[in-house]
Parts: sequence; structure tokens; C-alpha cells
Amino acid sequence: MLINAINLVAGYGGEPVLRGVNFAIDSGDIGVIVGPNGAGKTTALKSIFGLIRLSKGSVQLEGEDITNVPPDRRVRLGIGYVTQERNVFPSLTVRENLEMGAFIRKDKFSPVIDNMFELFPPLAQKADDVAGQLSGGQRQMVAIARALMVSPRLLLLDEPTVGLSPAFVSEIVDRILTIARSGVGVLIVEQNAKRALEIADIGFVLASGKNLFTDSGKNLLNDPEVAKSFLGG
Amino acid sequence: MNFRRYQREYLFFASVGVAVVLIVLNFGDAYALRMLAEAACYAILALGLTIQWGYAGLFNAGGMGFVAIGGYITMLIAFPVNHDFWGSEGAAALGEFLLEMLVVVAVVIGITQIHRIGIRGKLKVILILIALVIAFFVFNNQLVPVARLIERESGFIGGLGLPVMLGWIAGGLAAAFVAYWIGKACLGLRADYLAIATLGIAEIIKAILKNADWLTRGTLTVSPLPWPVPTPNDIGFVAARAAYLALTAILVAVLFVLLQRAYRAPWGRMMRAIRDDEVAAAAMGKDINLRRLQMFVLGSGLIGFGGAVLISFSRIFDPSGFTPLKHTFLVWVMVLVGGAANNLGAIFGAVAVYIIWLMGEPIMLFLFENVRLYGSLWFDWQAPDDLMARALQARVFFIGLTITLALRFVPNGLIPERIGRIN
Amino acid sequence: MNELIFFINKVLISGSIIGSIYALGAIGVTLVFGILRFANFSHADLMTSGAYLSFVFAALLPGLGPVIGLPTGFVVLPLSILFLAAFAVTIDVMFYRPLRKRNVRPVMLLVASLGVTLMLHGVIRLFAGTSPRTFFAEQNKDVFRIDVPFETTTRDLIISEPQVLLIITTIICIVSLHQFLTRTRLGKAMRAMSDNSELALVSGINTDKVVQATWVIAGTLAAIAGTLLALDVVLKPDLSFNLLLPIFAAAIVGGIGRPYGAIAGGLLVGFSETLAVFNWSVLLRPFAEYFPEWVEIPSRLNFVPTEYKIIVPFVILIAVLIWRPTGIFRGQVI
Repeated sequence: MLINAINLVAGYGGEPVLRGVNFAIDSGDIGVIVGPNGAGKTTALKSIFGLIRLSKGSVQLEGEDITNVPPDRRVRLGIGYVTQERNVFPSLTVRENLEMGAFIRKDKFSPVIDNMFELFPPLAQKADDVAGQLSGGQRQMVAIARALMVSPRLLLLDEPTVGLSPAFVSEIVDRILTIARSGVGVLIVEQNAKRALEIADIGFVLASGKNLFTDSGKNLLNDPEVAKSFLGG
Repeated sequence: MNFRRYQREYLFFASVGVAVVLIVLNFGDAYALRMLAEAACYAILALGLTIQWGYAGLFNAGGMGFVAIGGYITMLIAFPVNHDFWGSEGAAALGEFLLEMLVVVAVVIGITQIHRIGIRGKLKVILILIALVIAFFVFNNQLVPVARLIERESGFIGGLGLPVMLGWIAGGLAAAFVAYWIGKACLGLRADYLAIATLGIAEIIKAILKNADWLTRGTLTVSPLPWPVPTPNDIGFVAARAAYLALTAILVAVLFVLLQRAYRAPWGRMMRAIRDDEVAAAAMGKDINLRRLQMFVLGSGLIGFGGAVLISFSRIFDPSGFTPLKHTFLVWVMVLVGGAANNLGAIFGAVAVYIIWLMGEPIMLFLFENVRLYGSLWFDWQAPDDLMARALQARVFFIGLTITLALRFVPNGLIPERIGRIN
Repeated sequence: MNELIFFINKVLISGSIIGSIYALGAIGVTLVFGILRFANFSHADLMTSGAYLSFVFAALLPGLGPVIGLPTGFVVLPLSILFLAAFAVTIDVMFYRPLRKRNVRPVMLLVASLGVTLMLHGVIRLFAGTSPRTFFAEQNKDVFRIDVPFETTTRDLIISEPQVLLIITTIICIVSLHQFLTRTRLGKAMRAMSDNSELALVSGINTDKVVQATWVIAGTLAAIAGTLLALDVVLKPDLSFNLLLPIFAAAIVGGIGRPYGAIAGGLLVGFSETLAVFNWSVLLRPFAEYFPEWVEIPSRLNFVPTEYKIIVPFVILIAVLIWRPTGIFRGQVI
């Protein structure tokens, strides 16, 4: 397993939001976390990245326990994280945003930047524009590219397509598939469960901080119970 | 009252009591009474700041300004009438000046309404700005000759000869009025902006009081300020100070009871909710800025009132005597050490810190006398002549140190907020 | 023409001098505000400390200035920069970092900075006393008088050596800061963290290092501004407490976290002050004959009497807070 999160219990003080959830995905797989509002999807992602202290449970990256490793160290270990909002540096140029993603790299990273421009061609033309002036979809590309700059083993994406126009959605989804094909494990939190499960190698359905169903995306889509509970029929 | 539960409070107040007894024995009644009366005045200031900082999380760095306003207004209301002035041409000139200013204000207000005749947007803003600049120019340059005339003929305009208590209340109201405008401008923004603005307004108020000789006699100072109780000239230091202390102690007690009730009332609960979780409070439909404005105005009013009581006690109105150290930061230390959101803590902090502050003087002098002595004995060190003055100035170091240490080690003060007590 | 020269001396030169000081101070304030999210009330006392450090070094190495041909206080500047930068970082470690680690509200850091400023106040007064001191006890302050080649002028343009040094140093500082912020990794990381500190952490930026760099820059600029101000005017303990409000006003006008805005803000506040206290009668008097007879030009005609100069930055500050709290350069903190 690339990442193995076992029995996570976490919250923001008071009642825990996560009440013992499990995730596990392999390299090159796309895992999708879906579920109703307040199910703890974003919290789950944050706790895998170490932004929230776990009160119970453990996180392992390729068998190595990283439960107590702070987030900036997890970046060095190869986890990239894209938050849902405010995920670019608005007053930095696109190129500078990518450089910030590579802050921890000691080697020459300009080829990596070129790779990113290949992966997201629209960014190449905007390389020297300030990120704050880009459209929502382009910003999302910058954010994902920034997280990819460390060549992570695992990429965590929090609602990468929220608020984007359909054209951008399919472009982003396309890129995510490309990224996974290159061997990176991708764990996505999605509001739009149906579309997300279509590309999921493995889907995790959460409700009130617990795993409700875990199965391949296709099986979940076809499972009448999943459909009944929240895919809207 | 449950002793165990309030052990902390009893312990701290008992140690203050011991300190007071020691001071009475060492320095005499008159000194101790002066100290306690001043500490009681500071307790009012600390209560005002507690409302702002402890209840509402507002940072007021301009305590000195509100103290100065309170002090000045009290002087204006209570100081005996200066008959020289009222009989002089200066009074007429001042009246004329005030009338002119009324016209200027009317014109400016008229210009702020020009959107009624169709001038809007940028143009309106620019016109208003130009009008304000011209108005200020006129104000400034018309005032100078009037001020000169008054200063030459009769010194300053004097007071109104009204009761002192009226002056205190007016002082509080004036401070609240100034706070209202400052709050209006800054309360929607981060706490830092309020801090900066209050710091600025305090310096401006001081500059005005210091330089407007026709109003305040400036550096010449005004004394003796009247007291609401018999003064030392009538009944001697001990009795007069005891009377003043009794009066201020009653004031503190009344304010304490009122604030305690407000704190436990729904209004207080709401204020704490806003302080602790602004977003949630806003989501519950509270108008946060309005509430904050209330707290800021109320707190500043109390500071103005306390300042009035404090300045009256000193019997001298000296604009240069207002310093950020004594009238802003000392109060901060009192509140931070005492316990930010606790009225009892604020009162304890005020008395305890004031005692330490006063005792710091002889202690510092003693310490540095020894430094000088042993420095010259052992190292043949020639101390600078102003070493003692420097030693007193250096007390500010300890004020600063106390603030940083309190933040780090007793972030909730020695007598912390007791949430449990309200439910 | 004499009047015009008077205007240039009193407004253009004075304005750029004080404006440069404000700009240097405001850059330090705005960077700290942008990165650490609090208004650093101790910045002005940091400047004063820098000036006193230079004074001490100048006293220790009195021969240095004459050898190079510049004021000794200026020559020892690198030393004071080194010390003050290290000092600023130390203060952070001792007083601010423990609070940050506890995740307190940023306004608590502001309160701590008040504590720090009072401590600096006390230390300076204890060791240096309150009497003013001059850097030019043993060295002469060079003053350049530039004769203006018009027949009608008798006045000279006057600018002193420290003032020239101040303007040159300010320009050097601004250019190198620009290079640092746009060319180096650490500089870009500073801008990134000022933009969005959580994202900086998530990106793997070493935020502790960025914070340190911020204090080093703040200390450096404070040492420069404090020393040059003391060289130009005089060295006294409350030298810079009066600067606090104008510096904050400049930083806010420019937009918090915007160093270039701080420069513009500093100059704006500086020039507004000098224009406001300038005696406009001087410029009007030559035209007295063109006015109708009943108009009498008073001997003093200014917007604000010099004693009330502090009103100017305050009014600018309030105006900006009311109309455009993000500042003219759209800073990110409101």
C-alpha cells in the first residue's frame, strides 16, 4: 500500500469529526472520498496530511509510520496537498508559484517546471502572469502543478473541480488521470460523487465520520444502496 | 461564598492587604492613603480597559488620550470662573470665532449633501475633501489671533465653576464621544488598526492640550483643581485623602456591581460569544461591529471618567504629565496581570500593580545607589551624574517585561475569567 | 526666486528626507505585518536601538570616519546592521515565537510587541540617559550649499552630507530589497508566505526560516533608518517613538504586506507633513501687489502649526481606513 490510514479519529475540539475511518490506496490508483456535507471528507484529507492532530489511529506511507510527522516534513516525504480554497499565491507569478512548490528541492527543477507546462499547456502562456488574475480553472491547474513540483508519491486533492466550468472540469479530470498513470497515487475529495466515482479505482463513501462503503468506483456506482443513499437515485 | 472556590481571590487580596499594612507602617498614613486613592482611580481605568480588551478583545492603545480628555473636561467644568477672561475682548473674539466656525461647519455639511443636486461619486468626494482642507485652513488661521488675544489679556479661559462630579461625568461623556468616532472608523477592521488609531489620537489630544495655552494654560499648568470632598487645605492631608479614597472606593464598588451584572446578563454572554468566535456570532445574526462599538465607547467613557477622578485627585492639570507609560501601558499591565476578562481581576491588578509601581521607585533608587557605590569601590567606575534619573526611567523596562512574561506564562492573568460562575 | 529656493529647501528636500525615513521604517513594519500578521509596535524603538548601536560603535572606532572621509556613524553602519539584525531575531525567539507556537490570536503578538518596545525604551534610557547626543562631536557635519545660477537669488540650496547619504542609501536599500524579493528563493518565499501562510506551510516552505529572514530585513532597515535619522537630526531616546504613527500610516496607505506601497506611503506621508506645516505666506508674498488691497497676507499661513504635525499622518491614516482599508496598493490584510 502507498498510503494506509487506519482508524482515524480526529476533530477540532469537542465531538470528533472522524470517528474511526480507514483509507488505503496503491501507487497509480485514484481513490475518491465522497459523502454528504459534514461527513468529514476534508477533515480526512487534512488528517492524512497532518494538518490536524489525530486523537486515535495511524497513518503509514509505504509501510512507514508518519502519524507524528509535521506537514512540512510530509511534503519532503512525497505527499502533495491541494486545498480547496486559496490554493495559489495570488501576488506571485505562475512560474513563481511553481518554484514555491519546489522550495524543498535542492536539485535543478526547471525541467520539472517545463514538464508542468507540458501537462498544463494553458499555464505556459501565462507563466509570467500574476496568479491572482487567472481564471478559476487555471488557478486550479497552478495549484495542482505546484503540488506536483516535489514529484510526490501521493497527491491529495480537495474538491479540485468545484465551481469550474464543464470544459475545465473535463480538462482537470483528464490531467488527474494522466498524473495517476505516471504512477502517483491520487486521493480526491469530491462533492460530485457520480462523476468522481466514474474515474475512481477505489471509492470511499463516508457518512458522519465513518466508512459507509468501500469498493471499486464501478461497483459503488452500480450499488443500489449507495445510489439510494446519496447519488440521487 | 465558598472559600475553596475563591481561594485564589482571597489569597491575592490578602497579600495586597499585607502590603498595604507594611506601607502604612513604613511610609505613614498620608502616603498610604494617597497610594490607595490613586490605585482606586486606576481601578476605574482598568475596569474600562477590561470591558474593551477582556470582554470584547478590542485593543485600545490610547488610554492616555481618554484620561487626558477626562482630566481636561473636569478642569473646564469645575475650575473657578476666570472673570478676567469673561470681561475681556478675548471672550467676544472667541464668540465671534465660534460663530464663524458654525458657518464653516454648516457649509461643509451642506457640501456633504450635494448629491441632492446631482453631484455624485468621485466629484463629490473630491469636493468634500477640498472643503475640509479649506475649512481646516480657515479654522487654524482664524484661531491663532483669537488664541493670542486671550493668552495676552487673561491667560486662559478658565473653568465654569460647576460641581466637580458633573465634571467627571462630562469627562467620561467627552471621552466616549471621541471614542465613538474612532470606533466608527476602525472597528470593522483588524484589531491592529484600532490600536494604531488610538495610539495616534492619544498623541494628538496631548499635543492639543499641551499647545492650546488659551484653553489649558499649556505648560504653565492649572491648579489647584477642586475636589468634591473637603481638600487638604480645609481638613488636613489624612482626613481629606481618606474622604477622597472613600468616595473613589464607592465609585469602584458601584461600577464593579454594575459591570458584574452586565457581564452575567445576556448582553455580556453575547459579547463573550463575539470575542471568542466572531464567525459563529455573526452567523447567529449579531451585528458585531455595533456591539463592539458599544463596548469600545463604554470602555473609553469609563477610562475618561477614571482619568477625570485621577487628575482631580492630583489637584493639578498638567498636559505634559500625561504619558503613555503612566496612563496607557501601566493600565495594560494591570489588566493583563490581574486577569483580562474578570472585573475582580482588573481591580486586583490595578491595586497590586500600582503598589509595585510606586514601590519600584525607592527600590530602584536603592539598587542603583548600591550599583554606584560598589561600581566605584570595586571597578573604579565613575557613574554618570543622572544615574538616579535613569534608574527611574528604567522602570519602564520592567513594565515591558511584565507584559511579555504575563502573556507567556499567565495568559489569563492571576485571577482568570470564571466562565463557570455565570451558568 | 529666493522664495522658490526656500520652498525647495523646506518642502522638496525636507520632504524627501523625512519621507525616506518613513519609507524605510514602513517597509520593515509592512513586511512583519504581512508575514507575522501583527502591527509591530516595537519597530520604532528598534530604529532607536540601531542608532544607539551605531553611536557606540562610532565611539569605539572614532578614527574610521576621517580615514574614509564619511561620517563615522555612517561608516560603522554595517556593524550595527549585523548586531541589530541578530538582535531582532533574538527578540523573536524570546518573545514572539513562544506565543506563535501556542497559536494565539495575532493581536497577542501586538501586545507582546508593546512589551518589547517598553523594554527597549527602558534599556536605552538606562544606558544612554535621556540627554540628546550628536555624532558630530569630533567630526564636522558637511553641508553642501549649492549656488543657484540666477541673478535674482541670494539663497542657496542646502543639503547636508547625512541627507545625501540617506537618500543614496534609501535607493540602494529599495533596489536590493526588490532584487531579493523577486530574484531569490527566500525572497519569493517571503512574498508567498505574506500572500498565504497556510499554503506556504502546505507547499513545504520552511516558514521558520522565512520568519527569520523577515526579522533580519526589518532589523537591517531599522538600523539604517535609525542611524541616518540620528545623523541628520540628533540622537535621543524618544527619537523614534514619534515616528511610530507616521510609519504605520505609511505602511497602511501603501497596503499591508506591500513593500513598494510602503515606499510610496512613506514619501506621501513625508511630503504631506512638510507641505502641511510649510508657511505658505512665503510663496504668496511676492504676489502681494496682485491681491486686492483689503487682502492682507498674514505672517504665518500654514495648514497645521508645527506643534500639531502629528495630526497629518493621523488624518491620512483615518482617511485611508475609511475609504480604502487595503491601502492604495491593495494590501491583503484588513
